[in-house]
Amino acid sequence: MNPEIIDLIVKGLTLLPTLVEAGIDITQRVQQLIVLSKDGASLSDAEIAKIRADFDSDLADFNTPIP
Amino acid sequence: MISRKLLLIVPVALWLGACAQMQAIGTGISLATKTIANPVTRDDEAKVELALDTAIQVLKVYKTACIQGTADKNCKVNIAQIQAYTRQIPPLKDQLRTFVDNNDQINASVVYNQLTALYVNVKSAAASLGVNLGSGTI
Repeated sequence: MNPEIIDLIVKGLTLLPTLVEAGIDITQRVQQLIVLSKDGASLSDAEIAKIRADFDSDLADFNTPIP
Repeated sequence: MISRKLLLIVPVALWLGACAQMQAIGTGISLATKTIANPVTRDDEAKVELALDTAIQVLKVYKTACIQGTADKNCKVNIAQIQAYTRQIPPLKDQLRTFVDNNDQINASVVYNQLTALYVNVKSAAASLGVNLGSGTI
């Protein structure tokens, strides 16, 4: 594997806790995306409902004006 | 501290882009243009919502840093500019869900394509302001 890519992987692994601390749910997001990337795979109604709810919440939060 | 975290997202996005299976975390899901012959499924809708939500989550970190005074001096103006795009998303997102749930493929395709175009615009606007939202493939 390209050494530059290995370096990026090492950096990425080191930084994951920082992203989690910033409130980004990496694990859940990766799992959802892996399911969607598989041929023929499909999300359950509950999973889709959660994706919709999370998106609604994050979007509403970001769209509020900065004080 | 958080602004430093924001800067660190860039190498993470690159790292994730290097992992084929996890490519989508950098919003690298392929959000292909939809037509009647290529209908919008519920999973397609989930993909576009996940891609947009990933971008919004990164932007939320930037906004939090801005409120706390740890982001760059132009952050309020930057966020306002990005919000000009993100505030167009809610009505489109609601329409897409309704059309997909009712299998109204004609309107679903139209709205889906509008949402993916908005996604590109949000990323472009953020990138021009120095906020990297990942390496998407659309």
